[in-house]
Amino acid sequence: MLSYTLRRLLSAIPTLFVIVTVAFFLVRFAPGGPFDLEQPLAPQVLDNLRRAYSLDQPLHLQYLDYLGKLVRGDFGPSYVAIDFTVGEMLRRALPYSVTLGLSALALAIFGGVAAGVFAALRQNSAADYSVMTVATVGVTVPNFVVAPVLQLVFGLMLGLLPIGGWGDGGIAHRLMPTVALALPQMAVIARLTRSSMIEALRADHIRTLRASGLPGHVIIRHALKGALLPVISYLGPAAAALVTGSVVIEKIFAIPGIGAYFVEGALNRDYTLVMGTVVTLAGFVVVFNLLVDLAYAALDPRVRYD
Amino acid sequence: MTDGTLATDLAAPAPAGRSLFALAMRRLLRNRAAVAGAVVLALITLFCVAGPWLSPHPYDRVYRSYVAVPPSLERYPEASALAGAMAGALERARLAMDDFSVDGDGFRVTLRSDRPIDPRNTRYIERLDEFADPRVVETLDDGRTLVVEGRVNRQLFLMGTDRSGRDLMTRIMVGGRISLLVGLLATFVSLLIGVAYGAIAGFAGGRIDNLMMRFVDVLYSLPFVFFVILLVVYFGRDFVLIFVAIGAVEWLDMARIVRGQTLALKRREFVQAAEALGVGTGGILRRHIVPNLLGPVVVFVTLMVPKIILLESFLSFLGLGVQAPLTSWGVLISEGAANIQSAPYLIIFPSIFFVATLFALNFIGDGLRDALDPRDR
Repeated sequence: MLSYTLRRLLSAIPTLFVIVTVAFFLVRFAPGGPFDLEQPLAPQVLDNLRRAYSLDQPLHLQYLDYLGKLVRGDFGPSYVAIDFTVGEMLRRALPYSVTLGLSALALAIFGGVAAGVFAALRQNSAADYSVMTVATVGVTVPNFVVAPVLQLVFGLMLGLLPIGGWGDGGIAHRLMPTVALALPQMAVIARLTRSSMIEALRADHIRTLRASGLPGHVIIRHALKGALLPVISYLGPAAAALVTGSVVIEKIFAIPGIGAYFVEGALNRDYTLVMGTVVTLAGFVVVFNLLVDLAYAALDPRVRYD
Repeated sequence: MTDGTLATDLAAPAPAGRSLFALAMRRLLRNRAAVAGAVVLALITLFCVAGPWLSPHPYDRVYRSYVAVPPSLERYPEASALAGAMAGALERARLAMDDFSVDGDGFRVTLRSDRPIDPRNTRYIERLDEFADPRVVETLDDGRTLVVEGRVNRQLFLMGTDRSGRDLMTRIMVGGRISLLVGLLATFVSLLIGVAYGAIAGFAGGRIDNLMMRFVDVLYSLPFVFFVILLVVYFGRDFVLIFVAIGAVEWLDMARIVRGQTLALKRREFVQAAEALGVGTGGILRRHIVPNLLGPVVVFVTLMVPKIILLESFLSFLGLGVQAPLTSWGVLISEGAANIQSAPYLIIFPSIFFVATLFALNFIGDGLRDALDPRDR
């Protein structure tokens, strides 16, 4: 187990390296730069700017320099938001994105598993069909449609919740973005849980429990243990989808998180900000995948550690 | 007995052969959700492809008089708005308006001024979307009074118009063309890459397979959407680039599925027989492996098209997709979301078409999977 953990940890490093490298060269080879303003700068000013940000160095030196600083946790200065380092901007944005992402993930897991188990225990009943219909809607309708509809219904028509912003970070401001972000993943998890739970309930050891006359909740607990494995292995892709979705949700609800910075940085060609957000988000996905893999290996004894 | 009757005699008792394809078709047709999905998809496709030719409005025509008008079964302009519109036009021409009347599809207005009126002033009337073909029918008072007649231009906006005064229904049709086209083209790109990659990896097996699949695993854990966004931002919002980028990202699943199937097929007797007969690797891949992959691949393609439409809409929603005046469903939904308070129909209609298409494709995909793979049921 320990060697598996170490090997898995080590394999995350090349992935991160590839991400940083691809992002770096993609951004640098693109035509245009952060100082291409509508009113062109004087050549002397441009030269000074390029020197100040060491953009006049050969590309490979810039790359090595960036890598070296990145390892020490320095994302460099923002090219557009003058006087701010990317690290500062990310630190300011991170709490919003993390809070939003983690609460959406929790909602997706608990809501999805609960709905899936509920449907599986009543297989082919009206309750089952209605839960699964809602889940199909959740899978099909993207969150950039769900979010405005929620805003329209709960924010404008009923006036129950604020339609955007973060406010004091209270539940009222967080509720709609969290639900909108979680809904598609919740639906996928509900479908996964339902099918694996139905299968688990048919397994021999569950039939034995039933024959022994154990109460329902004990049987459910035992079946759930087996049924949750596919759900756990789905959490990696789910986290990636949540990170992607947060870009849109943060835009719709005007939340100053990392996703919002990413889009802003990409449109402004703020090299370092784009790099910083991509590396942070990708790093998050990679680390989360790692945790999921380790959890899976710990939970399922059939996984080989070699 | 002639040869002809012999042939029919022999043919008659032979039971109608049921090919695998026919069986799958029967199962598919019995799946009501899949059939409904196919019908809906066909209707939406027809609507989007043929619609713009039949629509009275070009998709990029701006009607200044009808900015953000709500959907209506009645033709615009509203009767009550006509007099005001005419008064506005004449004010701009610095003319006074006497007795304006509307009779059916025609209008009649008397213009008055202190000085002789230039008949070309009717251009001010014509410029409005409400009126057409104004012509001077009477000149009175040495040209200081003109009587002008013309047609009231009645326009139908079944789904209203957007914030720039463009007909929403036509824009939904054109946007649908783009969304469906991107879905199909990007799927095709990823199909080519994925099938080739997966078939080669699966057939080669061993170390090559291992290496190729490790590569897929590494790519898999990258948050690719961000790279697509970067590509699109930096190398221009080119229509071709969008679908190539999406297709190049989405081939991973296809490669995995194809590889798994190839591994299973490779051990089948007919492949071994072909090998024994000395057929080369390329020949076996072309003749035996790829055709037998069709079932799962077809299923996967139908499930992939909605995913790609979704991704394109996601990009368009962020403002990184197709450029104005061209449009796609994602752009329309994004515009609707921005105007949700003043004009909720701007998001409702595009969303209906978008969601209906996604549902239809998902139902067809599920139905195909059930039909082609009976074990799965």
